[in-house]
Amino acid sequence: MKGRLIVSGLGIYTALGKGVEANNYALQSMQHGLSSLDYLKTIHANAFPFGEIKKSAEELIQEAELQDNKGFTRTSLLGILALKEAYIQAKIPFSNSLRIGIINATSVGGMCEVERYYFDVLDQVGDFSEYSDTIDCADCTHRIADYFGIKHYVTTISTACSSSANAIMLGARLIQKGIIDIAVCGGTDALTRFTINGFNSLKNIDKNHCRPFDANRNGLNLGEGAAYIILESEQSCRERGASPLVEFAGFSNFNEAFHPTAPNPEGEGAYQVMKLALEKAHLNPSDIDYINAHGTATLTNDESESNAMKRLFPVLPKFGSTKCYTGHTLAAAGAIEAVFSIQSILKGAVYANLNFETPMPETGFIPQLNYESGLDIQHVMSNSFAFGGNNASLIFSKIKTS
Amino acid sequence: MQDQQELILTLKTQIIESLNLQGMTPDEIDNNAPLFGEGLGLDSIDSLELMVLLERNYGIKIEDAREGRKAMESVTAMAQYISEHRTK
Amino acid sequence: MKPVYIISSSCISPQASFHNENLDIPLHHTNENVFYCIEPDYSKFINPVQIRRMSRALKMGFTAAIDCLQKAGDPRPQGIIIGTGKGCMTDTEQFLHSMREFNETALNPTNFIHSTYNQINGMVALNKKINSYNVTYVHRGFSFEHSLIDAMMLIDDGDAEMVLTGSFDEMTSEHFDVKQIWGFWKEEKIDSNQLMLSQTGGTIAGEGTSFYLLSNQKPSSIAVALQDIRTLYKPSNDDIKNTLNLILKDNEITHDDIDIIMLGESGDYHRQAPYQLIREALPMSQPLVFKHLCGEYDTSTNFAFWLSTEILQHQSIPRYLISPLNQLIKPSSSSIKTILIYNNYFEQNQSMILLRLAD
Repeated sequence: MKGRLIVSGLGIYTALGKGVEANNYALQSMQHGLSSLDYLKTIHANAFPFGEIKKSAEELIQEAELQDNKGFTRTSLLGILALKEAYIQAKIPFSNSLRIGIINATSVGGMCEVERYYFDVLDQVGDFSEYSDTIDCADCTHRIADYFGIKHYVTTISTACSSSANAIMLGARLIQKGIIDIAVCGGTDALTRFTINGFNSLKNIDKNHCRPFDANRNGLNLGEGAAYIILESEQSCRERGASPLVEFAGFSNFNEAFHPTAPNPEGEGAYQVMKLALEKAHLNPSDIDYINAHGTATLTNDESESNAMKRLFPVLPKFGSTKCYTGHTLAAAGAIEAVFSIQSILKGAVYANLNFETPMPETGFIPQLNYESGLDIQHVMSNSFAFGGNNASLIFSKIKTS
Repeated sequence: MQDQQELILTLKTQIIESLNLQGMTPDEIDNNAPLFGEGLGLDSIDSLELMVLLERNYGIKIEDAREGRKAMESVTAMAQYISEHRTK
Repeated sequence: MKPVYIISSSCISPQASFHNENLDIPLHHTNENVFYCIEPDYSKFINPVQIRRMSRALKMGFTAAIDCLQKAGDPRPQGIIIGTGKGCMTDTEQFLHSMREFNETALNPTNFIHSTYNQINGMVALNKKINSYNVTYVHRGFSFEHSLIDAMMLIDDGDAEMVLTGSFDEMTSEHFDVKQIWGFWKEEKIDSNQLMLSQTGGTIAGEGTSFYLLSNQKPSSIAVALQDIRTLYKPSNDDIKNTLNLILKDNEITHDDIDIIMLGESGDYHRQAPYQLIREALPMSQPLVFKHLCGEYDTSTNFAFWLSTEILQHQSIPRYLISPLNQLIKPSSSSIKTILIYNNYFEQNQSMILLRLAD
């Protein structure tokens, strides 16, 4: 493929609401989606704030209008509902002969159901055979692919918290190689007891609302959600009569090989990955108008990311984290934040980094503190960093009208 | 004092078991050597595992990773912390 | 895409595949419907501080990856791409059990950390200080194949000259039981050596890991090239036939050029039809089955891939492969240039991998 890569559709479902408009509205009103848990049963339900989507399984099944709902996990349902919106916007008919691939991302896949029935299956109490395929990450991708009739390339990536950023990158590369014409890229993760207890065992969940980039930050909040973007060549987009939204200008994946779970406090990996993404997009640091930071509000991430930004950007662009709205949605985070980044360009707006009071002594950085619109946002960078040193950075650009 | 010595020995056995320090005996762990970095060479994930040990065996819940690090500077420090905070 | 060359490989499997230069390794079999790997002495590959926290899957996968790099003289590849269907099952299971046992309090972080699918990716990068592209594919029967495709793309684009790629999956006794309840395995116990002769549904379980260092540079010795890979999601019979024709056409070869067809037949009587289709489409090729040696698992094609590279490199079919399940239709002295691997993972994920002896 030659020419530019275009985003032609967006779909999102988070604790802020279903759909791009609901999410935009919450961000604009500076309204977070965090609360105690109403649907997931865990002893931690009231101990921490979570970005839980206030819908039961039955309600989600109804929204998805499924004929046969057997074996659909919450992860699959969120994915289907988010992708539906993107399909409609990108004007892709449900049955078609297009060469479409899905590159999905998830951190624990069907665990949201597995953890509920696992011991009953072991003890052979009750029949859970409808879930017999859910103990992995591929099940949700298969369910989504089948719902939309996607066959040409069906795959799943799991690199913890950078998973869906990597999915978006792979989609771009598969199009450029001519393996597919249209890439459905994104991720889905439901809240699970497994991940809540996992992050709790790492002692990095804040009991209060998380405070990205604050000196007194004390950990992350977990959330759930799904988001997808539709990628294709400019030519394919125009030929199909769809509208190009933004250009996917650059990306990078870089492992910093520092520690199993913690980032290098100096931010070496974060620095390299942002720099490589800029190079790929043929942009200078000064071209970036807004950075949607990884900004988990853990002690180590925000220190590392701030130090990297300080080193790379002679003049710091507007930046902030949106995890204070949605919670950290793990494998879905990269795609959810890609949608926010793309909306930032389309709306000419940047989002407030909530709960910030005191700058970190290491950098003195102050993130964006209020919602600001009427801006000319040309280029946005979206960062996703993960366990295992797996860092990713994406750059979206306004489409130049020539 | 006798009790403290006993606690230290028990604690060392628990540390070896919890961190799976294969082939190590309690005598090989110096009571006053740092557990992390130099000394025994444990890392941040070990410190979290030791917090699990404290919670399961002594009913001590450490919320803050930084406080945990201080409480676990050495075996002696850990035993001291246990004596002061144990609930079981 | 341009073919890539296999510089080195390492395989830990239920057979004596690890560090066994002699192809005529003794054949292991099972009567328990489940194969477990023959594990090497890890102490040569993993330092004592690291190993104490690692579960089986991590140790096996990590060791195969490190061994593969060491065999090539420890180069720094520009990509680490790994596939796994289930990740470290032991850690996932242990974490689930402790959540129940300790009622969601005081849980071991190690199990949680290791349950994340990209653990081996991170550990290999960390251990060898490889700052590079790094991705984990977790798509059941496509996990290994998509890792290979990504590696080929990375090299084809000039983003890498060398990529470490591979896959791992472990079978635990608990996971075996869960899948037994759900009818994945045969109900009756069978001898693995008779796997394809059984006339019943279900298969036998297995596990394994293998890693490959792929490069755009042809090594000076006899070299095997990874020529092409196709993945088919829930294909029709026509899709299978068309893909076979396409892979031949795109690589400018004919049906008769396929010397060996490596078939992922699992002994499941109800899932034999697609394999029969391939056998009939390639009547001149020597069919070989392999799952009676490694069992069925998400990334079992990694074992077929390893076997195929060994066959091409040694220019012979190892004696242990020849059995009532694999009767030779050609004289064993004929040259072997091209092998096609075809696998069908529970109908959903099917793949074709084309390997050739480099000119």
